[in-house]
Amino acid sequence: MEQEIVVTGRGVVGPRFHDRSDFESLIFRGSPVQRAPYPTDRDWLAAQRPKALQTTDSFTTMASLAVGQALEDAGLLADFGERDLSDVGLVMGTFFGPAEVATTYLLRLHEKGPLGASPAAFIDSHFNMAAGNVSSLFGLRGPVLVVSGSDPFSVATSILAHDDIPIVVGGTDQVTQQMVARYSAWRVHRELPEGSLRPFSLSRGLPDLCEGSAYVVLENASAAQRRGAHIAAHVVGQSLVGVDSALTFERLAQDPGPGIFDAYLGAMRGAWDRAQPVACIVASANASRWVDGGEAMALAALCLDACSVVPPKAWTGECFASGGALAIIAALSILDRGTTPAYVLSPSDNEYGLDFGVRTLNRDSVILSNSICATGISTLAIRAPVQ
Amino acid sequence: MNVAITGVGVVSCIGLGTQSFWRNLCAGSVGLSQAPSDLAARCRPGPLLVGTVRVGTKEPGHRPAELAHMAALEALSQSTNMPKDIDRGMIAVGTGTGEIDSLSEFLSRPANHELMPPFVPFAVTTDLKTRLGCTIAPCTTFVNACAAGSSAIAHAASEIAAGQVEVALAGGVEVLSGMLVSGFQSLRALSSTQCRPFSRERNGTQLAEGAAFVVLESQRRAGHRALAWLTGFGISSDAYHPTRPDPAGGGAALAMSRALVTGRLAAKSVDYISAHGTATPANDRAELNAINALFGGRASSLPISSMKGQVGHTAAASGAMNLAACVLALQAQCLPPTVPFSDPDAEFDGWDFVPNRSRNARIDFTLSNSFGFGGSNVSLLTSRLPLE
Repeated sequence: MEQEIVVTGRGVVGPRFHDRSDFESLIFRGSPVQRAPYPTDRDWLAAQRPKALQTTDSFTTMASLAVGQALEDAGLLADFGERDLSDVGLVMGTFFGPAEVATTYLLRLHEKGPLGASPAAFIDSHFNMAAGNVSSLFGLRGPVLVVSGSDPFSVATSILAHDDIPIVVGGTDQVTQQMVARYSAWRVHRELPEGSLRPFSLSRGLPDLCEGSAYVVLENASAAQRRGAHIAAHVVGQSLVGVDSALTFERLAQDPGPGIFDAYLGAMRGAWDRAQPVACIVASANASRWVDGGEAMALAALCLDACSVVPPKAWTGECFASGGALAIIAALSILDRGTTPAYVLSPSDNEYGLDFGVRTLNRDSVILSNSICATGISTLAIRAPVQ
Repeated sequence: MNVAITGVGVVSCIGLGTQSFWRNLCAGSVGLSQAPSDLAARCRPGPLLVGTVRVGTKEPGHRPAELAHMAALEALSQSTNMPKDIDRGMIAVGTGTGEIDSLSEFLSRPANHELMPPFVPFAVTTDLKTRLGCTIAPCTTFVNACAAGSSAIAHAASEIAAGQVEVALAGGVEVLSGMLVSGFQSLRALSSTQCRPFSRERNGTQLAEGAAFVVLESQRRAGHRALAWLTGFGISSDAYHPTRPDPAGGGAALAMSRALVTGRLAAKSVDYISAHGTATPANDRAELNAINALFGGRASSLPISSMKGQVGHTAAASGAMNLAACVLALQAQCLPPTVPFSDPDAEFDGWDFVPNRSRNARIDFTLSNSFGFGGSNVSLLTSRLPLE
């Protein structure tokens, strides 16, 4: 990466985690968000819906809460209403988009015909409407882009390569709609999800479907330094690799060469240039044999010494598009604490013999955060800020 | 920034392929007609004019990829690239709500898992990738409403300019659905008579399907094969209202101004604007206010035209189609017209909307605009020659 990019803020919202502190506790406490096959309790919505979001749909609300936290964490809302955020962009990744409102709208259309079309519901069913609402709420007038089933961070870093936009909030947002999510999961895994999710285990179970939103503020290092921002991490590498698969990931486990391995390698190049050790990989593993197997094979091929593997979906469940951004928030939490969380698998249940041990990081340790999207694999390499 | 445009492909209701598209665009042909009965049955009663492409499958879930594939193949062929070349580059696609009717069908009978349609937008991209025979090209799918196609092109150009890839296939596609059309009807945004961009009596847009794709390459790789050059892009958000544009055109002006900044070009050098020009009263006024704010006294003499009266509003494909028109205008040194056009709003009287007839002109630099719901604005700057 030619331009140095830093992380200056983060925000995260989901069931049982209302902010970064909750999320960090969740990861390090080690208990899953839920054991039920599907989230029914939207505690995040009840707990903190501000007045400005009383009437917005859940997709907009979740994104607004997470982006707001990230902007505040980055010190960009300290003088909210006075500071001009016209040079701040937003890139939102999503899988199902506003599935709740879209399916409700479609069912109403089906039931009542075209005269039943509601203008408000039609507007809210656009995939980019939540991003537009968030940009209106915070006055973000930089590029506001929404990608579906794709990696938002490669788009965000691409925007930062241009001098006129120094700050981009990048992340993902997924509010699930039960009918759509369950059938999509079935399409991928050929079975409906039940039970808890145990990545990399022989008794892996099946994905818990969940929802969540996570955003980080990415900023050109020089711009962040100029405004005296607190730097949470440096981005030392980033890569996006396509896969020869569509909605399923069968090929990943067969041959990690064109997929996960290349993604890891691309992101690690920056770290290797600086001779920085990769101490931890935050995996995308979701307890499906394809993703888990592909990641395990890529890890084996890399022959990394003393590298711990952290599977955040063991605690958050499968949040579809939001998994990638939640993995980055997990990686930032690990950097903050200087240690990796424990993921307990008995040796007989550790299918791939991976190292899940608690590891203390050095100041120059690099963490890779992996995201397997529907159309590709993206990996971000971060390290602690230079003192 | 100098990114070569080496191939263009267009599928539209006025022509399949760039040659017939350009010929009919300049001839003033109108491709909008009465909606087919299967679509009309899913929409509100009354006159409904749309632009349909009379090719391709009607199989639920696959029409967007099929139209995209046709446009992509033409662009690849022009550029002399093969799909395997794109595999070493990237694919960026802007798409809209076209697949949503298949979800509607699915939701009405949810018991059969196997019938789950590929309704999510990225399915269009993966379907296109498979049809092309590409395997490992990284793909990104943009869903920025009517600015989706141009967002995809801007991103691909940015990646080439940054040296991340050498070649990219990028563009947009839209197909008509009951949800899209009835939704626009519910917003009272459709004209039941004629789509008349920039005319005083304009009363709404007319929706259409179509696809437009370009092959982008680095200057080094393209050599002398460039048809035109993508020399700048600007993206902004209105941060104003979900569907209404900022009346002053602040976000649109910001996008155009950012395109000029990345292209390091003075506003006075722009020779033509391919406008978003949807023919809704508020949108056209906001766009012209934006042009006025950016170009000042020169705005009234700057040729501006909109193809929506001929091609219809192709939503997610519209930005890519505007870019295609700019490339063809630069090549032909000919300004495409605004058809049909009568009198403009009083405050824009005397502006050059290239009314009803195309005309030859010296064109070195063009801007193409696309603006979408959610306040998403994209402007692409193209030039005949690479920048010094």
